[in-house]
Amino acid sequence: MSEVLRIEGLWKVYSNGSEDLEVLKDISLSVEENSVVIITGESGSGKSTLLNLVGGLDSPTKGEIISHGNKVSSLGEDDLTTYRRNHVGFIFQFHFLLKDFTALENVMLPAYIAGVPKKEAQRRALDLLERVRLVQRKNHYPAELSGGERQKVAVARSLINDPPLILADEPTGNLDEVNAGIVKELLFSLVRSYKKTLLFVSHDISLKGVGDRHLVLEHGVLRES
Amino acid sequence: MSLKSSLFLGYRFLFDRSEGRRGLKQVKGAFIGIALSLVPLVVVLVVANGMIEGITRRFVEVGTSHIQLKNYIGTDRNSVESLVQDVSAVEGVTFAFPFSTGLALAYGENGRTGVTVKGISQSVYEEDEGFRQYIEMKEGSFDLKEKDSLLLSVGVAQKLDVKPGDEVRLVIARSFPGRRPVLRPVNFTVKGIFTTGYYELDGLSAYISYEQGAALFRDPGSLSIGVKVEDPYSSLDDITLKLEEVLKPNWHVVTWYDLEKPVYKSFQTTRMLLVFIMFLIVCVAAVNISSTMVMLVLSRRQDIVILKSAGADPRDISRSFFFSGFILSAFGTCAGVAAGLVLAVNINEVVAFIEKFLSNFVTFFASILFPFQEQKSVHIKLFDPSFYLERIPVRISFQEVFLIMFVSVALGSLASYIPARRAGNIRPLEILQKH
Repeated sequence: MSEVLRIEGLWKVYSNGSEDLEVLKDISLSVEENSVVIITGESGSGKSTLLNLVGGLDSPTKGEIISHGNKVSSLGEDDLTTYRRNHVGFIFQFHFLLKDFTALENVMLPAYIAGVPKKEAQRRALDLLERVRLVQRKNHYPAELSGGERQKVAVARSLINDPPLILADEPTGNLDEVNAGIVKELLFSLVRSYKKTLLFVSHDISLKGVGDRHLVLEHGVLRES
Repeated sequence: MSLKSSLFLGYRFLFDRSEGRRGLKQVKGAFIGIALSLVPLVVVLVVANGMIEGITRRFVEVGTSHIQLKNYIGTDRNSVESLVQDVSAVEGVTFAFPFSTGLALAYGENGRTGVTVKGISQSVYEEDEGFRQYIEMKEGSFDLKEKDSLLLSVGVAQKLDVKPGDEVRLVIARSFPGRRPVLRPVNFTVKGIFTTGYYELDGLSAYISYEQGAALFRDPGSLSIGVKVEDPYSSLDDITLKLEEVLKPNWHVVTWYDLEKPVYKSFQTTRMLLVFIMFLIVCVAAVNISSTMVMLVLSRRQDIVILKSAGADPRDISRSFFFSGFILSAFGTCAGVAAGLVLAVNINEVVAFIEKFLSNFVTFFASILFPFQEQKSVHIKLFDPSFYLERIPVRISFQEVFLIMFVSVALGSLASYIPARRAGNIRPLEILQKH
């Protein structure tokens, strides 16, 4: 299998006046295509920072992130936008759905932004809502959906532009155990069936053994479990 | 992101449709603000245009004519009448007539007043549609066939306390070179009382027959020719040149604009000042749009993060918010202009309603405050018709209405430019870290 993501000597340091806070320390990682990589770690260990760097939402202090041939860390604003649009799908801990857009509109939005015609975007969104078993709630607003349903919509949204890499930042962190299980199961099965690479970060150590690879992030240092 | 997508997002940012939410209050406030600010502007413009046009038309059709041909040295009736025939043949002239004019002191049964007397023939009323349009006979008829016929404007008739059939004496001063002026009293019979609808003309004017006028007013320059043309409000330069070609020496062409320039300019200046003041209110409303857009951007920060993480360009986000400002301004402008036009068109009814309401209100409270006194019903008049036109005229210039709409939308859009740019520059990470 080919390499889809490579991280080399990645550092992220936040400066707070005279004090430097090293959040990520010399991280190196290689992720293969269509694999599910689980990264666990305690709160504040740098999991979200790592995903934000890979997703191009933040820039590293030092090191390289290469995703699908793109040197993410050195991309300009326009190229970063294209990268986020075409190569990455985000799922956040908080569902981050547009509150006055229906479930269907939320799912189709990234495709619409990418310039996909409305009808085609709608068709794709309906297909994905069908896959997450929410097609009957397509016209409901986020406020009318349960926490689990909102995250399912977020999962569907992350897949609409068919990105090769899905970045999931504690997508079940805000859900009860039953719903968390349902969402995780759904996400893993969709990733497998759509042949996507998943980088899943969580503080939940019970995920050990679920993915193809399990890594632990501790005090900014990444190691194999 | 396509233009269509930006418009879609810009529109949706404004109109919150999620359950339990009916949109940002500030958005509604800004919409109402821009709409309300345009109502007085449109009303002022439409009414001012109507008033200026109404007054100007009355002056031009009844008072000065479109063009006057004047001979300040002096001429005789035969020369004037032969010149009228030549002038009537000039291309673009629709009607020409001789007239004599002068000042007189009028004495009635119970009063006296100064009047501007104009001697015209009966045919002017019969053949000049413009003149006839603005002469409304209140009593009697427009009859200048007799030598002693006199038509009085309502203001003069009121001052003299006369009605058709009554006798009025006009005292006219005739001057002779090197001698003292001689006063000549002449008796007339009132044949009719008219109104032009404008107080300045109604307070001074009187008509006598052309023959009598020419006989009474013999000062140089008393005999003139009134000319009507197809369009008196466009440039009169061409027709002036054509008229000068047929005029004999010592005759001069004077347009209505030359005669009424100070009045016309003062109307236009007042109108511009009013429009300017009203426009300042629109500017304030535009600033309100700017602050609303700032609030909108603040309330949509999370949405901006979602859009950016979904691949929206900062420029796309700015454009969407810019469209929000544009849509808000456009909707507010349309509503304001529509409301302004409705109000302006019905301004007479609205004023009448307010007057009636205030009159009833004052009468009612007077009866409560002074229950044992006999109450007379109060009639409040907001505008004294003696100083304006009897009915407020309106004239809608769609060119100006569209200009107002364009400027208003442009101002609103401009006001949303900076907040829109800021929206595009929001860094997703800052918001994500707050969560």
